[in-house]
Amino acid sequence: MSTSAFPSTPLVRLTGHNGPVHALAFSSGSGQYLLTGSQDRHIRLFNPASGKLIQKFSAHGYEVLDLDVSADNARFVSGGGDKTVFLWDVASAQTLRRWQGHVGRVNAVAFGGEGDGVCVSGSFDGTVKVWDGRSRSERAIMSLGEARDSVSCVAVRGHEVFAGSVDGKVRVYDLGSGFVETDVLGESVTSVCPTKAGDAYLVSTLDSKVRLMDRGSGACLQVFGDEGFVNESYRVRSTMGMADAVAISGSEDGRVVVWDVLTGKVKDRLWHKRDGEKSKAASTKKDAVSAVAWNQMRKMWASAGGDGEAVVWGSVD
Amino acid sequence: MSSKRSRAAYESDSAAPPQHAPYAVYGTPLPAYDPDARDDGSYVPIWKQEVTDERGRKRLHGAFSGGFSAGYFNTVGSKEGWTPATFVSSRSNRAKDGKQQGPKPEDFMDEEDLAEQAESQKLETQNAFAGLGSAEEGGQRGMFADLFRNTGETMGVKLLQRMGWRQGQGVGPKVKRRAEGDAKGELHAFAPENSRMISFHRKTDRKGLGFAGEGKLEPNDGAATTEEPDGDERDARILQSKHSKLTSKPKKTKKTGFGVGVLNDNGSDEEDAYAMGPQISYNRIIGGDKKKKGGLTASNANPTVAKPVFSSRKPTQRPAASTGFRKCHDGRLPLDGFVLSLAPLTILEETKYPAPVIPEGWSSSKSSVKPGESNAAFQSTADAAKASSLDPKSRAAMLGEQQLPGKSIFDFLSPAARDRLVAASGKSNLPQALGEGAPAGFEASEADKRRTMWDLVPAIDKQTAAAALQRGISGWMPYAEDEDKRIRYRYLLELRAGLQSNLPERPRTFSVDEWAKELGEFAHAAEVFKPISGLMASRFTSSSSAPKLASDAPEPTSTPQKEEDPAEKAAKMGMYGPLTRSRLPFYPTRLLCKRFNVKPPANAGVDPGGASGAPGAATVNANKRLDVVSQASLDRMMQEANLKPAGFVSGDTEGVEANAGPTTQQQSARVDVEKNDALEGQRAGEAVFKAIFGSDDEEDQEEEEEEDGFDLNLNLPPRDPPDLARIARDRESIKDDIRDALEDIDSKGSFAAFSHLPSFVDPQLKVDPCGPIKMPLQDVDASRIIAASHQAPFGKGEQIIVDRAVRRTWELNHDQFTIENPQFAEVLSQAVDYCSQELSIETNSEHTVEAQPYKLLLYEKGALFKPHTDTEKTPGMFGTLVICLPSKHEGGQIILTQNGEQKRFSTAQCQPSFACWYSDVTHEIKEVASGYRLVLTYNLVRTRSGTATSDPRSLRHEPLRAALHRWLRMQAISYSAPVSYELMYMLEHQYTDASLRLDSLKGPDLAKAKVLKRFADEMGFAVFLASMEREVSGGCEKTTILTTITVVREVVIGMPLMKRKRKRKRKRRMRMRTRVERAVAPMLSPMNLIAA
Repeated sequence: MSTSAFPSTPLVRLTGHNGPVHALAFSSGSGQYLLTGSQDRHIRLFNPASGKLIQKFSAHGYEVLDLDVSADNARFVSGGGDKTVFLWDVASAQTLRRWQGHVGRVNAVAFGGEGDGVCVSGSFDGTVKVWDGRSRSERAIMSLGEARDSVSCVAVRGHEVFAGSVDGKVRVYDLGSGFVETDVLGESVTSVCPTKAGDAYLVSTLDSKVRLMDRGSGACLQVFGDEGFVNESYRVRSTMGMADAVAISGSEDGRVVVWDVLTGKVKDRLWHKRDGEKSKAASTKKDAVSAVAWNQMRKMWASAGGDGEAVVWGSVD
Repeated sequence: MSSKRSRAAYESDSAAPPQHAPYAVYGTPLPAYDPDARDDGSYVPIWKQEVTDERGRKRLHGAFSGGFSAGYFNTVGSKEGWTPATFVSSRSNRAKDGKQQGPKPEDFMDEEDLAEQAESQKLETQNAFAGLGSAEEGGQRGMFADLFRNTGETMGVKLLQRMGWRQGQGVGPKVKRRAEGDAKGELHAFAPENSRMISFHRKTDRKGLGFAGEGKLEPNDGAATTEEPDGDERDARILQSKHSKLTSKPKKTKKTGFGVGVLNDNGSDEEDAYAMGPQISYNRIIGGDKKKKGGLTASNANPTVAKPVFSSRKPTQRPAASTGFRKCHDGRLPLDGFVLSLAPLTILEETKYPAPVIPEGWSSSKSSVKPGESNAAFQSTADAAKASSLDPKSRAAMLGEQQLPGKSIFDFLSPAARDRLVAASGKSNLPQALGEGAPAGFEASEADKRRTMWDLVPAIDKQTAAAALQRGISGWMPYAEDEDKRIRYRYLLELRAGLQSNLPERPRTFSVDEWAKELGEFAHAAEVFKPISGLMASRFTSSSSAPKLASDAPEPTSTPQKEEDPAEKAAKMGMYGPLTRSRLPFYPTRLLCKRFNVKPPANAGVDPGGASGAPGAATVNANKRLDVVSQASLDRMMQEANLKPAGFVSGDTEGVEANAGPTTQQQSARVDVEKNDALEGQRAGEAVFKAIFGSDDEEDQEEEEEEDGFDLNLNLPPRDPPDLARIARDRESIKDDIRDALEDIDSKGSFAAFSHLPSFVDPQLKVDPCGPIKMPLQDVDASRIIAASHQAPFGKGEQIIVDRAVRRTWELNHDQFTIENPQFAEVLSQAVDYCSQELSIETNSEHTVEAQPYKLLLYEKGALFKPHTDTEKTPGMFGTLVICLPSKHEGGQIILTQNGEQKRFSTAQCQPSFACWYSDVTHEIKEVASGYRLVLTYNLVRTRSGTATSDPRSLRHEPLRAALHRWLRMQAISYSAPVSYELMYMLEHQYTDASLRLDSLKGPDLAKAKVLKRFADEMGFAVFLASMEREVSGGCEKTTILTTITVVREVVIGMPLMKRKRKRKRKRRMRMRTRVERAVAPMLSPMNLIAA
């Protein structure tokens, strides 16, 4: 699998954001659309192939920090600085629900449950809350308060809720067994991305390392690092790509680093930043590539960051 | 030891002789003298002594005299003596002693009270105090006033009074003179004239003499300055015993000017302000001290009462009455030209003398600073060294060091080191490195090297090392993946535990740095893997001070250093896995589980009313959160210490245990309004009733001794008279239930089976007289067989008859032929296995199914065998196996019928096949249309018959159990009504009398019987196997031939009999037995009593 080529050609550069882009999400399945959530309080829907802006979703009063698209592509959920979780109807570009209850900014959101019936959100207030998308309830179904610091990322795989926290731990809440398994990473966790099978998860920490952890035992299966790869202060997201064969993560110096999961070797170093090779200037926070997203069906992925641009990558053919 | 007598008792002791001096009032009086009685002061034994109070009443009483008895013979001591309960050593706690006894009033005061108290607490003398430094802020006083002012009697006054001095007198020896105004009287000794004390007042103002000035508003430097006496008074009071403030009237403010000032306004409007002239007061009396003196003497009237008087006058503005005419203190006028000064002799603060001017040019001989050096700036040694022009060599010479060979440091550096220096310093012109060894006498010895290496070996606490080592021995040790590393780790631990003494070995591939780094890592690991005791210890911190009282001021304690989590440590070391993993229960809400379509775990939380439920769970977590990781890792450590590879499994159980609490709570909280458990729930077990209503075993204890297999220890409460109709209904339903339940018990086996042989092996059949028979069968061989065989008979009842209408078959007994091919036995065993499987015959080590050769049958054209059942020819036989040898024929199918179910097997093909069936299966062989049908028949026998060996628990059958229970219960309810004590159930198979045994039952019958037997044992039923014959009359005689020998067997379930009705029960049992016997009467076979 590692022999197949990684799509490393920048296809489109999506501009128009009036601030850093914090979140990226391909639409489910075919990845026909790409959603971006930006500091400028808007969520934009692009066509990743043409780079055309299709829709702008405006309801947030603060920055948009995370997005997740439901499996049926009818709804998506977003969270951000307004401590509120927004459930959107894609077609009408209106919010279906606005869940208030967090007392800090919402760092991460994810769909979960059967038919994406619930939304899981992780917040700066150190809690993970689960909201019911089925009922009209304003209150969270559940609040998981184990984290001792801001919850920076959440992910749902099956009946397991993954939550990474700044306290350096990844907590996996297994609803089936009623147990929470805590893996101590030591450094603040910025991103958690479970594999498709849910038997391992990719986790980024602020020690400039991305690790693949075994879900069952908590053992570290692979450590990804690179001398150019910096992740020390910003919430940089990582993701698995190519059917979990590669790990992709943005870096704070404006690059995107791609590793081969099996060998742990760097597969690609790509410049997200414009004229990345040429610029000799020291990297600033504008360079940080904070979000990456992969779409398996299109073999396409996107990166976005502090420069307010999202780049869609694909193969030339 | 004498008991004290009270004062009253002593005084009323009139009988006593008057020995006591009436004035002896102190102390304890001695008892009255009584020559007969013993002296009270003498020894009284301890048990005679009594404690009395001051009124002479007994202080301590026994229980009957209404008091209490204390201690040991009314003492506070004990037999061993008396020890104070709280002994406080006065040596160490002398200062604290008083403080710690009991609560102080301050302990009950609130803040306000305390503040009030603090306010009222001012340090001051009890009386106005004579002498310097009085607490009273007296403003500016005269020197003497300050020195000797007093308001109480000073000791001096007291002494003078003792010596006969009285107030108003002078001090000194009495003077003999005449009384005043009595020039001619005789001389008397008079006290000397009171002389005044000299008081010096310095005049500080510029007012005229004697003019006190006017009163004016001026700042008061004290709230209430004490009244200052006039000059005369002041002078006089030196010897005045008591200066009464009472008598000293408030001085009228001398006012000048018109009108009334704010200060002078006394509130009365009548006075015309302008009618009052300027009130200049002049001293109008010259030498008017007489009057004053009178006032003074009167001032002694009440010296104790003091009254503060406000006076705003400056002391300097004191009126000086008749200043110019004052006499000196000895009564004479001052010298001519002198006037007594009346200005107060005050020592003003501002009169400060300036320091003497140092004469110019003076210099102290004590100065330490030499003039030359005083201005030299400080210079550090380093600076001095820099400034020094000395080079190392000259310094060495100065210090007397031996000269090093004239080489630079670069001579000793290795080239690599020099390169580093070049790189670091950026200078490329450094001398060439030569890499020489140290000069003679300066080489680092091996020991030195070692020593420096030793410095690299990290220090580990000996206990820690030993403990970590112990853990390694007992179980887990890190670095499992690298054995060498583990060995090095172990070595370091051993070294630090004192078991080794040599330097840890350094692997060849390691540089010193790497080696040292690894050692550091080992030390770290040892800390992490230090055992439980260490961890436990680190979880507790010893108290650094005594428990604090609430009143103690909070100490500024530094927050305790947070212990680093072992998991964090492990994570830092990259040892992800069990060390960094912890598992804790959490409480997902049911709704959440529902949304995730997950079965809620046992510890699922209640559904929230949003925040109301979730925080409950969250609090649990929050409470646990504090010691979450350390606790979990602790458990892990424990598990690992025991080297349980399945340590995580036990983690689960731990979690489950932890859940037990919340779960049970939850269950208790759940209420189903739809259902009333008390009414609709399942009836409680018999044991419950037994426990509640008690056993009445006592009634018939004597009968208990007889052993009775039918006994059932069921004691159920008597009920109301039964509703017969309902009972009948119930009975029917119970019968139905039991039957249905029994029907459900079905062995999967079938009553017959048929299959083709997988491969044909020629049996090499050899018939006795005519030799081998070739397969497939030829006509010639068939006729040879027929020649050798005989017409097969069949059994009818107990006879064996031959009737070609019923059976037309040629048969050879098994001794007339042999099967030569040994491989055929294998085929046979395969067939037998198949059969026992299909018929669901249990085979195991004890029970094997064996096929015993029985007959060789040859069906020629037209041969048949009418429907029949096989007889069981040998004990243990349960069925028949027929192997059809290859021989071309048509017809001759086997038709098997059992309970209305029919199976038809065709053997017509040339292919060899086999069939098997239970012996009781009715079967017939259809007429053979053409050709020959040659079959080998075998008796299927279970070789070692015994009871079932399978676990009866596996035969558990709940519906049946429930039905039987109901039957029991109903029986108990309606014991006085007609009851069915037996139920009968027809078995599927038919059995001969010989095989009517539990272990001989077939297929489904066996399963049912086993279940029944199991329940019977459990609940106290009796189960019988009985045979029953049914006579069919009125039918055609011929067709009933076979049916008349049919024996219908039944299972008779004996109903348990209740102990309560023991006597009646006996009769019933008899009756039942007879009934059963009657039922089987025609065959009259002995009952098989399984229960026994």
